[in-house]
Amino acid sequence: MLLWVAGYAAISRAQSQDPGCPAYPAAARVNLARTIRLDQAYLAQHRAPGRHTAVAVPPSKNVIDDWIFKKMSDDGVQPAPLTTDNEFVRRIYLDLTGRVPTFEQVNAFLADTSAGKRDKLIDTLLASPGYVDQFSFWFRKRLQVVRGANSGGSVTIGIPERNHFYSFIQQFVQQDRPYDAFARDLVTAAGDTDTAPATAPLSRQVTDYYQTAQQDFWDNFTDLFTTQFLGFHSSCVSCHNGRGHLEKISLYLAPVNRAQFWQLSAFFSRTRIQIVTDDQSAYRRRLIFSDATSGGGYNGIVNPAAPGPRPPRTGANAQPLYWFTGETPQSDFWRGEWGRAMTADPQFALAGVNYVWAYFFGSGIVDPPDGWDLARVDPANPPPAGWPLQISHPELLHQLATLFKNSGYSVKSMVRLIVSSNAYQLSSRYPAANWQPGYERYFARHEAQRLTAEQMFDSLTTATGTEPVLEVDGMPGHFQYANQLPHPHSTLDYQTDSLLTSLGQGDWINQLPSNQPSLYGVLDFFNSGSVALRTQAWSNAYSPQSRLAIWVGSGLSDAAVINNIFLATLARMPSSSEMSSILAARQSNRLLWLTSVQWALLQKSDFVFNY
Amino acid sequence: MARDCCGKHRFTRRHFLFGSVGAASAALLRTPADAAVAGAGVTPRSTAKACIFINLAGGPSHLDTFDAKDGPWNPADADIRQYGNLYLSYRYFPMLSGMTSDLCILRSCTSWEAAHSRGQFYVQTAHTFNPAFAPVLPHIGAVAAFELGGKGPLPPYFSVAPTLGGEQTQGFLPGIDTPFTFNPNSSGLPNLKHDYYGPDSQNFFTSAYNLLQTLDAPLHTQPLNDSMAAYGAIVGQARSLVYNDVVGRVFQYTAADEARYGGTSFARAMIAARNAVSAGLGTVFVNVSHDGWDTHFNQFHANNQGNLYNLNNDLDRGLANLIADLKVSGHLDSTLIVALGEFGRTPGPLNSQGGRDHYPNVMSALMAGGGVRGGQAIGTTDATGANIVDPGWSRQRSIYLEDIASTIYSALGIDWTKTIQNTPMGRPYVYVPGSDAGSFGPIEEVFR
Repeated sequence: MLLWVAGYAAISRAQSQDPGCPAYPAAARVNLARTIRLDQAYLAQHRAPGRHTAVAVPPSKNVIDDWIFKKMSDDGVQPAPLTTDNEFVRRIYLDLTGRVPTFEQVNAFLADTSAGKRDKLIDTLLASPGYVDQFSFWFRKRLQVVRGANSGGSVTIGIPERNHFYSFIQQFVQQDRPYDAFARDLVTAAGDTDTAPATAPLSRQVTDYYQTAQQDFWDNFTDLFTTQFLGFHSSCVSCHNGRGHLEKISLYLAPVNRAQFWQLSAFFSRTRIQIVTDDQSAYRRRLIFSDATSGGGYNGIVNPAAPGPRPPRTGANAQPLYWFTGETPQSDFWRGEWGRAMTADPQFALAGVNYVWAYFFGSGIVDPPDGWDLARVDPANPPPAGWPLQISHPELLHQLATLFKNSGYSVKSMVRLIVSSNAYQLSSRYPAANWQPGYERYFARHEAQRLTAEQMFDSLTTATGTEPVLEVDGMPGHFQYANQLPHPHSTLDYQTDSLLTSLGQGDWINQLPSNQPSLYGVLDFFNSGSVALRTQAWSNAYSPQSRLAIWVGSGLSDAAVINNIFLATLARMPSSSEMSSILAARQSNRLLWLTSVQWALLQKSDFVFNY
Repeated sequence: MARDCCGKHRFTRRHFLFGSVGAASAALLRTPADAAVAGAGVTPRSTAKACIFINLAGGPSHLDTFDAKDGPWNPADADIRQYGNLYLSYRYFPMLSGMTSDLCILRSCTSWEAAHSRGQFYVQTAHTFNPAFAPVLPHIGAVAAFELGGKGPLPPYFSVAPTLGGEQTQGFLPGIDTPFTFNPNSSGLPNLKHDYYGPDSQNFFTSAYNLLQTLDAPLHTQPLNDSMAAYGAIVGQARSLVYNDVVGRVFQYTAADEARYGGTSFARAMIAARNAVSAGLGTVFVNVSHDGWDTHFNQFHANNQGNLYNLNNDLDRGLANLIADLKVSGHLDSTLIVALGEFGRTPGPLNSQGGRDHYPNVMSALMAGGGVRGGQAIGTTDATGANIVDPGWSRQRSIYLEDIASTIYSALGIDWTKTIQNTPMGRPYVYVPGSDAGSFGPIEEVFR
């Protein structure tokens, strides 16, 4: 059965990930074609002669606005208007805390008449537990720290390891520890996975322990760190040279050969991964990570019975060389040397900032943020014909990287800078007739995006006041929000997990999270008890004290209740035509009628989207 | 707007399709009429309106399924019987053995691949795996949906009980061709309706939905971007499915049916497939995954739940009942049924662990219905199933997945040589690579 399980996992991996390039996500490749087209559209706009009509841009609040609005002015691209307070309050809560603002929070913000109220709210949210939850979740998801093997065969980590890492990430975000130190902690994580704080991302890469060569683990580590901290997948060249494979995918990696990749992986060749227990049936694996201070080097000698997924490493014989900058180890602790070289690499800050930018804007200044083609990001050395530059605002990105570094790699400071800008606070509304696809790379409007599965669920419960009790296997107490859950399928609440699945939470192993709407997900959001019963204007198992039930019970008028539902669900008041449509649909059964109003607002495009 | 995750990128299909300012040729590719096409001018058979495609994931042993022959590897109870030039184990396939006049067995197939992942990609797309373009290449079911869909409320392309995370989707084709994926439960498809308000439930839904449409109309006519437009379209599609008895019945199975088909997940998938194609509500392709054929170990061992007795018996009951029911209802002639995996398994004696390993040189496939002439086997292999000794068809070579895909397209009335020139990838998409030059084509011998 073991082989079948492995084979099954291989099939599963196949269509989400290229078996030749085991960790190159399919989504990134799909995006390549699209982003190249957008880049070209952007360049066409940028170079178009004689059409630079004067445009009105908002005032500049910081360096982001300087560059973003300068480029729009230079190229005659009209930005969208600034967000209204209603649009802003909803967006900032969703982005910083992962859910819509509560009824009270909306009212408090709208009632505030002080001049700096947006900046004040930003500071409040950045200091709130919601921010810690949302950004911890973001990092866990990026690092794919997930326990369990629903569809991933033998990929799993133990409960203690998962829980330690959960605390580690929460502390990193809460204390705003330096991002470079955080990266080095992940690179050098060592010790017994039952007690060490930060081994989980490495353990996640140690798959099929008994069938896989050590070199595969090293290769996986290299790809993990180039992807998450340098912004590009390198595992393509872990199986084959770039030549003959990557000419259409990456100018930078096309001439890179496998031997060069081994020089990177060689930094991990002194790392020992000892297995203590591997109880797959209980999903209970325990490893010990340690490092030798001598020996090492990357050779191709593997146990033929456990060759792992990559082709034979014929002729492999490599010593560590961080050839992105030419660094070699300065100490015997090679893994630490990788951490040092990587965090000293200018690309480290650039990629880090670009990830944060992409989180807020929906696309990176280099896009996709995990698909940097380093041969296409320097305007001074433009790529050959047919390949557009991949970077839309090079000066801005470099300045942001410098600011990031000078702030002691404070993620929170970078987040504050971004969300304080008027560029971030542009509306999503744009006259359709005037919109050009090339404008997207100018960030000329805020791109509306469907809520993630977790945002959708947490916004549903926040809007209706029906937050659940989410118990997690192996963790004490309980959680209230989906973005507090350690990973998919970790809650014992089957109904919630099922809804999150149909909304696209993925499994972080084979199924990448997707916020693309699906027919099945819409049906679930129409009719499942998890949604429909939360909309009811009376008490039930899901909503013993739903907001609607409380308002209905407090003797408010129809119009007052409807106003409240709008504020709690959509962070805005109804328009007069919306109010009259609703009043015209009034039924003899008031409770059912108000329930249908609540249901309809939760299905509305401006609930389902972050805009 | 929050970005989701690395690699998980804001990506809307419509935007992908229409998002290029530079390419004036980025036409709306929503229906075949939008496609700039080339073709070799072939005439499809058009013998079927729908296809049920059973993906035997894992790679079944041809010797222990459709290419049975006497040999020391057979268990004592294999009971191989002859029906014309067709041989089946009565122990494995007691029901199909009684309906061989409806079956066409292809024994001279060869796979290009020996690894599951690449082999499955071939089975699902009729294309070689290419890392650069894998995500944009559609499943053949999505191509069928693209060509023939939009004729009823049901999604044109179902994928029932799919291999987890392992199915190719619609690729570059439009969102309407996305596989409608579900796991068949005894209770039917949940959330096609609800019962929260007793007899008033449907009225409640209708009025609530109408209110939604009224309130959301401004964002439907002027969506904030293409993603929002796509969401609105899917909501409309979902609406046509709920409280629709005709649709609901497709996903409901009687206890008698379940018992007859075997009560397994595959059994329910077969019933759903039967219901979907016989409902005539627009479904043209049903993909059903039947997993577990990677029998490296103990393939006849009683303690192995995934042994070939159980695998074959499960396939036998589901498939035989499907064929029988479609025959009774009169839909068999218009429904092409195809079953195959990604490669065959090592010939002759079992390996040292009592199983068989991957073997691309020889594999078998099964076809029925949809204009197929039953009661025949095409191709002959040698005594141990190691080599093809007679391909048994006009091209006098192995049957490849390209030929099988061409056959499916031909039966469905689709020009298998077609090439879409104006793809969003900027390079042509050939339905069956090589068929435009005549290198591959339908196996005409399977048809009546």
